[in-house]
Amino acid sequence: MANSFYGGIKLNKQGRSHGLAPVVYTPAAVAINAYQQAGGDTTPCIKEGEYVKKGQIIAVSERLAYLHAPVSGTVVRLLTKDNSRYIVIKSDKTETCAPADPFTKPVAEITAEEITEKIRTMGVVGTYSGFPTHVKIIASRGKAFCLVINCVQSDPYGSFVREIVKEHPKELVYGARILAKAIGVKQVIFALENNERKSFSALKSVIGEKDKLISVTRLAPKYPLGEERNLLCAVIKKEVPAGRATHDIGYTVFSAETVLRIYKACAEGVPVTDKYLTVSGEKCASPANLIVPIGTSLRAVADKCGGVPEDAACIYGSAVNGANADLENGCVTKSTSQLIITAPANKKSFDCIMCGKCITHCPMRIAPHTFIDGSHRPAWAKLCDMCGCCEYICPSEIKLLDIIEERKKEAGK
Amino acid sequence: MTYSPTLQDKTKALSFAADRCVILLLPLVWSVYAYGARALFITFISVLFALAFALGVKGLQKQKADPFTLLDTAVSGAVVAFTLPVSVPYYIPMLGGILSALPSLWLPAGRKPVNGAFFAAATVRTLFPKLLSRATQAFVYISPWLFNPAEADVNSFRTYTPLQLLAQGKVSSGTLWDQFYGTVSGNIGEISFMLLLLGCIFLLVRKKMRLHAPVAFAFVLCLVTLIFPKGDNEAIFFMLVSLLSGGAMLTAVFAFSDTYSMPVTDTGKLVFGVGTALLTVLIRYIGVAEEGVYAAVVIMSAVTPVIDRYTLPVAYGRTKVKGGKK
Repeated sequence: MANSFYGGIKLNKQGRSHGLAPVVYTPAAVAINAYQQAGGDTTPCIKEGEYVKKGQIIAVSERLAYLHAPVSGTVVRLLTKDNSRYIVIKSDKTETCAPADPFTKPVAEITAEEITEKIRTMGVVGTYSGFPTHVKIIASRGKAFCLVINCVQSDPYGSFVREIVKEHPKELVYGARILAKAIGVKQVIFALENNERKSFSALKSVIGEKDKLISVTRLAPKYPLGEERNLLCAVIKKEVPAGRATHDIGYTVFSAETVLRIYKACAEGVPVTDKYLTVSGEKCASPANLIVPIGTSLRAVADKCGGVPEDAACIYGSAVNGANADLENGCVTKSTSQLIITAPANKKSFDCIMCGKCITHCPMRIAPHTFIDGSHRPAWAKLCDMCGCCEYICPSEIKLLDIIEERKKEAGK
Repeated sequence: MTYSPTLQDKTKALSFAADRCVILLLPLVWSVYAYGARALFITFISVLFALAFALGVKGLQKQKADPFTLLDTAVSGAVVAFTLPVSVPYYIPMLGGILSALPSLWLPAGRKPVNGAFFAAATVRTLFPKLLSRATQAFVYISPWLFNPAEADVNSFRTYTPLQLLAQGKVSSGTLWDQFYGTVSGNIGEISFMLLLLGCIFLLVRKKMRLHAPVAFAFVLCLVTLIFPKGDNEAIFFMLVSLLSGGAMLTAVFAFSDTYSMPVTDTGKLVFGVGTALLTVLIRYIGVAEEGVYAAVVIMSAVTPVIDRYTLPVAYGRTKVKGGKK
């Protein structure tokens, strides 16, 4: 099929938050988890009682991206809970910013190493995975020749990515040029869903007709197009060999929000202190796209959008593969993307009827039903993306994601 | 972390069995129109015995019968009745019903060892070959109150089905359209090709069956019978009668929609369809029975676990995708 990939599911867009411009929301206090990056821990470099400005570095690490104060105010506590270290800051509501630190040199004179270091010190990490961006840049340098920018949000409620693309086409193109320089790629492709006409024309007009570096492509919307490997399959009709990373076949994928962060870090000198996210769902009183400081409690975010009714469930992540949100202890991290307030699923979980629907819908072309009795191939447990297509389509309402998660743990031992 | 996605497709497991139940109705109504109330009685007896047997065994095992198993058993019972001619004595649908419920005892946790309905059909056909070849004319009604109709009475309305005639190298008097609509002699549920085809389309549209098995089955059956016609018949005529008459369409609808005895993958379903068609033709050509499709389905559904093992999908990243550019 043209511009698509194998399997997946066509979902109706539950677009209650679509087209709503992101709103800035500032809570009274934030608790920043120092463990929020994939790959390790950062060490707090501030003391209790100290006054911090917004954007000031509060936790450092030798290899990983830094953490910055998301609000200005006083550090109330440094506490350790559930094996994570939290930095609690009480906002003084003044939003006093630390001085911005952009590049003073013209773009042509900045080296790739300088850009990478800047991205690290400004705390840029992946939008969904929380993987440090500079590590990915260094890994793909010299191997990747094409950069694909993921402007796709294929799950039914998510909408903040398309708002970013609609509002910031100039920043994205600038960020893409900086990122292309940092990695050393010869081609940049913006991947959009084909129903995003406004964003497409906005990007086109910013890029211009004659640009040889950057192009825009449109893809058929289908869940989970946003996953890296499915996106590559749709854009270049090529699959990443099993056990390899995307840069091994010469492509690297960055999300639109990451590119926007890179632009802000390099051109404006502003670190990552907040996160775009979507709050939506059938039971959500006022769905919205929000810009929230890192560390805001999930309860505060849900309350901002009308709260969680008693008969509703609050899902952290997509409605197709998310988990129940921990509203009491959970806080917004750099990889939080959605909070869905909707009716709970109440799955009955009958026995498998061998209909084979999970196989025809699995984008990884594995047989999810074999995980139930453990007769799956060992390599499949590693390959599974946890996209949730099989669980969505299963007529017996089997909780396949939980089962696969367990098998993954067994395989990891 | 426990996942708790809230979005769920609306298709439910029970609807797979329920949809097969729904498509039984049209051929059943037609059989009553063509053969009278006796056709309904035969179906009813078969379903009743199938359900009674399944419930009895579940009761002995002190298990509760779930609705899916019950519906599936009922469909199996009805399908085995569909493969009987209207003149059979009532003890045959009784036996057929019980036999068809036998593989359903593996439900719901495991795969059926064979397709129940077709296993029962093949078994009674082996046990009572003479009684089951006595097809009678359509629109000649045998009283439903006779337990075992007298042989002389049956023989007076007896006509060979187009398939039986073909096996003898003869051609039936009716046109192909008669076989398409179902106004010829035959087994009660099999005579109307059109209504079974409607059921097939219903299942395909409702996505309760994949296209692979029925298409592969029909294609291979047509191809082989076209290339190797038997007797002095014209090849195309031979092919069409092979397809229109007998249990070919019944198989396409009810065997290929039984998820518990079909391979899971699309490739597996394709293999199943091709295998069934080849075995059918083989049994029809060199076997003693003129109708080989029931035995073919039984054999193929017995090897389904093997087909499944060798047709597992090739996972992402393990093959090259066509049309890839550098």
